[in-house]
Amino acid sequence: MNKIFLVARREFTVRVRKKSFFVLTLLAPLLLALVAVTPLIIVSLKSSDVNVVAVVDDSRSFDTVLISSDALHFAVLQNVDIGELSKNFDALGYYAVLHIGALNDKGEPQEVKFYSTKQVNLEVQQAVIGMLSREVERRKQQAYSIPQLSQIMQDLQTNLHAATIKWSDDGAEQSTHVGIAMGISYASAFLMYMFILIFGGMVMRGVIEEKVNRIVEVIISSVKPFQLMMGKILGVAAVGLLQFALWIVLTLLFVGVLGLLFTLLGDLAGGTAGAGTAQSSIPGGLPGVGGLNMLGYLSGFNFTWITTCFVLFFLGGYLFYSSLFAAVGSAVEAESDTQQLMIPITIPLILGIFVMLNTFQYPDNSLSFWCSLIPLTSPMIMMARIPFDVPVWQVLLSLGILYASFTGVAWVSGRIYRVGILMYGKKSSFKEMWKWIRYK
Amino acid sequence: MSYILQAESIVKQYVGHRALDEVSIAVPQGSIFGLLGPNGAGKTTLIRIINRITAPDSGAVYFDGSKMKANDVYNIGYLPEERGLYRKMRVGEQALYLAQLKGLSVYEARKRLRYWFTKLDIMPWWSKKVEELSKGMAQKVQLAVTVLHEPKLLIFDEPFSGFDPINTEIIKNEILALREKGSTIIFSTHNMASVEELCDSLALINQGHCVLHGALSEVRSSYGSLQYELRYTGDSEKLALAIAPSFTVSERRQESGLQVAIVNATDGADANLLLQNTLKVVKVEYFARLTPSMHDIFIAAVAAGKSSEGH
Repeated sequence: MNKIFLVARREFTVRVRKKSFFVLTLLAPLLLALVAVTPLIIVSLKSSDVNVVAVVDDSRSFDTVLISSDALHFAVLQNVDIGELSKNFDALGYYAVLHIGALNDKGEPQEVKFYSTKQVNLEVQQAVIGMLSREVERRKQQAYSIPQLSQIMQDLQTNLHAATIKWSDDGAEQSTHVGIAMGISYASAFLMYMFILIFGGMVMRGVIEEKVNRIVEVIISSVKPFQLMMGKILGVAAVGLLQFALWIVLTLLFVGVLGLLFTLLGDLAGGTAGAGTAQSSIPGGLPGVGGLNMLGYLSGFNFTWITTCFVLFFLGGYLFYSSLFAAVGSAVEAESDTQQLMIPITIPLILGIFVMLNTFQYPDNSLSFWCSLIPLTSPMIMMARIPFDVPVWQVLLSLGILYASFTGVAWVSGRIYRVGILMYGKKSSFKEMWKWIRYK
Repeated sequence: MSYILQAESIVKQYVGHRALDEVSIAVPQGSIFGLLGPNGAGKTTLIRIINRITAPDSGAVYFDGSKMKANDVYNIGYLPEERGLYRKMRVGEQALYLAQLKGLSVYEARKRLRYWFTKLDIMPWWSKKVEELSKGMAQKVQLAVTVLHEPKLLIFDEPFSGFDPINTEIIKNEILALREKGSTIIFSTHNMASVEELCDSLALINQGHCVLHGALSEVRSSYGSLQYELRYTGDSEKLALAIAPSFTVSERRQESGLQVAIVNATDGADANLLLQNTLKVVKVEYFARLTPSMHDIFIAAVAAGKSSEGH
């Protein structure tokens, strides 16, 4: 046991001290945080910029219709020639010039045109067109002089929403958001797949390194092969768990810091641009509302439970698969020879991804149920099911099966490993490995 | 004589071939024991069985008088022929790790490593990475780690590979010093000159069989036919006639004015008879019995194995 610890400690310290570990640990949360914060930044950048649109209205009937907002101001100009404006457009500092043509017999403007030196933003166009067409609609309705028409029109408006309520076993109601559940389901299953491949591969490369450099020959007289294998597997597991923990902490930290930073910057920008206007000093206000909404939905999920399950299933799945990876590593003399032997490892993993695509839509059908119990796929499929609330007994059963089968797999892998690491110049095949398992 | 290690009737069968067939060796306490044999003879398999890396199909290994137990490997230091280190690790750190795996405490390991590193002149490399070491340097590190836990039995497989003559001499003296301190050394090599120089006894394994076993002097004197070297002045033809039929001249040459003849004895005729007959016809300047070199013994033994295979 002490030997296993010594081996594991070496594996752990050597890997954690690598530059690549440091970079990956720092970079991944930074990227995640950027992905999370960027939309907010984009929204805030837009709102801190005030665009002024000059309006030339031939009919003079839309003056009061165009209402300025935080980001969009309208300046109604009278008796100006558009050709004249184009000459000193830059000096005037307008974002664009809006030309509303004379009305036709239907009461619609004959033409609506934007003039600018730059591409006029689609949002600005939509806002203007929206305001104009609503006004024209209103005037048309009035022209029919049907009493209470606007009331009727409002009554006709239909807007249906479906809410999903899940009954828990004790009959309590819990509102869920299927979209978010699907997102969490997909993300955690996919992360699981990647983690198992990344850290399992790490074990395999470590085994190959020891074998090719003949380090095994030196060590093997003082450590049993099984201890060496388990030490390596556990050491890399510790690296994986540390990295995962750091990723969670750092991502939260970076999101916090970036969020704060962008709020400060937004305030600063708002303060200088908007000078006196009070309404421009709340750039964070709009995205904040959306964020709150989202938070409300997210609070419906028990993240402690999901994270705990993720760690337990990652550990189990990793132990299960990395034993197989270790056996493959011991049987070859170069990483390029692993392909054939890797097939039985990668096929169930890829199969798991395919089942997962079904699971996150139908988390409770029998395919999902059974695949969340079979240890080859259970780490991924159970993680895909957990955001949709899986009975605790199923989770525990799945974990039990996973860890129990790990001991079996470790035993078989250990037998392949102990022969493989000292075997050179033999073509490694499944037949050969089967023989190794049965050696005395 | 007491034996530190005895292997009795070891059999190891691999699929398709028998690596060891009823091999028995006995290594006397406090000696240097040569384990010889051509490539693929089964030496490494035997060493792995002694180290309990693999188990024999049948046969038994006795260590220090009693049947070998799992813990006995702590009393063995093994320097394998194919040996490596983690390339990316620092030298000292790695030596400490390997020493701890042998059961030494960090404190004890550090103390002893400092002693050996200083002795082998590799202390300045303590905090360098292994990949920066030359092959000879790396070999020294491995040698230090092998002997660090002061085992009763040391197994060196080709310890001199990668060393220049100066370092070979240093290592050779270290091995002899270890024997002086009471260690027993099993020494596997293809370098027959160093066998003659270092070994007290030896075993020669060929194709899974132990074909020669015993003290070096016994093996040498028992092996091959009796041969004598004569240096003389006089008529070679007369000499040949005078010593026949009990002796035949197998080789004849001239060297610094003297005739040199290599004479083979047939039917176990002894040296007195040869000298009596020789003195009658020529003037003898030099007479010696030739013992076969380990090199010749090795080749003859392996060749004998080949020819017996043919029948």
